[in-house]
Amino acid sequence: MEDIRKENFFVRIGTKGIEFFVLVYEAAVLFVETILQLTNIYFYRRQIAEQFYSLAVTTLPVTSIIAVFIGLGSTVQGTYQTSALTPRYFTANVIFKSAILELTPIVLSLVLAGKIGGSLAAEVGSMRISEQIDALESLSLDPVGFLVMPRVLAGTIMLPVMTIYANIIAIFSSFFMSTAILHWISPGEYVSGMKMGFKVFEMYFGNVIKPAIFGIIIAFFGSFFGLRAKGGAKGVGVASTTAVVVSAVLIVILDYFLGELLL
Amino acid sequence: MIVIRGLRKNFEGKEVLKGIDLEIPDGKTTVILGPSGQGKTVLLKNIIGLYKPDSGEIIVDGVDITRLSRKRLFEIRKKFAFVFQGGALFDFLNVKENLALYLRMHLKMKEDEIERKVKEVLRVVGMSGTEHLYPEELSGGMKKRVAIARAVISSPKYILYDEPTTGLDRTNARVVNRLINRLKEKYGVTSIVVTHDIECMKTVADRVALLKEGKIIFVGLEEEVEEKHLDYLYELEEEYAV
Repeated sequence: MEDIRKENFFVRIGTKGIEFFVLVYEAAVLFVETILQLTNIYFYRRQIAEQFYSLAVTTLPVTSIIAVFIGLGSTVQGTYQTSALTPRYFTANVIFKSAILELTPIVLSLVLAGKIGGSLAAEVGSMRISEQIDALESLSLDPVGFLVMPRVLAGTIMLPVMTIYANIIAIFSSFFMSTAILHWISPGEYVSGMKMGFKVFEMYFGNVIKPAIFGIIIAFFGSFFGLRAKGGAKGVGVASTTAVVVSAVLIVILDYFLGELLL
Repeated sequence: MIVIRGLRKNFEGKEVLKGIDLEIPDGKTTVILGPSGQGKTVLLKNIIGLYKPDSGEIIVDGVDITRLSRKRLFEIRKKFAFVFQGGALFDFLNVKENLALYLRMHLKMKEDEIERKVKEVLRVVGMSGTEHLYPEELSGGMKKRVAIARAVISSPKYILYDEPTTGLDRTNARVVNRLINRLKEKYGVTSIVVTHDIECMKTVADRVALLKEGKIIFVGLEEEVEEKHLDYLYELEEEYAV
């Protein structure tokens, strides 16, 4: 009895391990196929344009709300934690940099992982179980070119665009809160705080590099788990949840490694 | 002409197709008859290359599609159209866009030409005036007819029908059966129909292949089926009797 239990345990661990490596392999293959489909950008231009439009329209309201409150929240925290100890312009600098480099990209990406990643997985997953993916293939249209590549491309480009937009809103809301409502700092001091130790690469890192990588993760894993969906509505639900969880975990992990590597 | 030789396919160790040998002659409707779970859809999806067989050959107009690269396979697939059991219409596109997709992507047709072609095909399937409707607004029978319209709009040589009358009431099933015959007469297409519906077989078949437990057990004319395999038809009728 003991032996059977042990064997079952090890068999289960082994099976899970193999399943994991198969999953990683399949993801790698799909990623390479997605990259190769970039040569068909012109052929799938209509689908790409639709994805850009859809991503911008669906994420704009939530991005705006998040951005305003990142600005306000970081201002309240920043002033509470440091104003008594440090020069005011230094506090403004901390608020500015923490919003640009860390808060906006990661909070926005995590929220969009739920919003875009989840809906992508559900959309592609329901196409898979209702044979619409097979229908695409039967029409000689590659699902990777038609569905995955446009979504990944839109994610890669639109996430930085949304992050830049969110950062502008966040900084404005923080500036307004600090100078017009709380009056803890003058506009001149706030601006000089922003200028302090200003590095172009940091702006590029927080606004473009990180969001672009997070955009790839969100769109790619949304599509990947959607394509693997099976077994009806439950399968679509599982695909959607898995896509969100995997994207969110990878975003947090990569956020650390990118900072460590590039800053 | 399509020639299938020694086709085998298994899923997770379960052999679904156990060596299929079948010839599909041009310009005729071949019905593959059999109960559910015998591998009818799997066979159809192998013919169009959606599944890759474990062994065997599928020769389409002299070319073995099982050995083709993905790119060549996509070219060969342009000879085919597939009518899926549930229609598989793209739910994010309306009827017109569903039909226009192939014309727009592969034939680069102009908008007015697409408009004209879509209207013409919808008229043939009796669905005029539904261009702006989305799949969720269509009944089961309407979805099937739009799916057939989407299949025929690409002027394919071969149309594969997966259970075309399943889930339809008698009236709609009759409409779909008549449509299959009409498309054969009007466009001269070669049709492969997989079904368990004996009425469908009687209405559309020029030739019948009986599929049982992953093997073709008979190929011949419809009358011959009734002569030689009446017990098989009874079994089938009993299985699906309401």
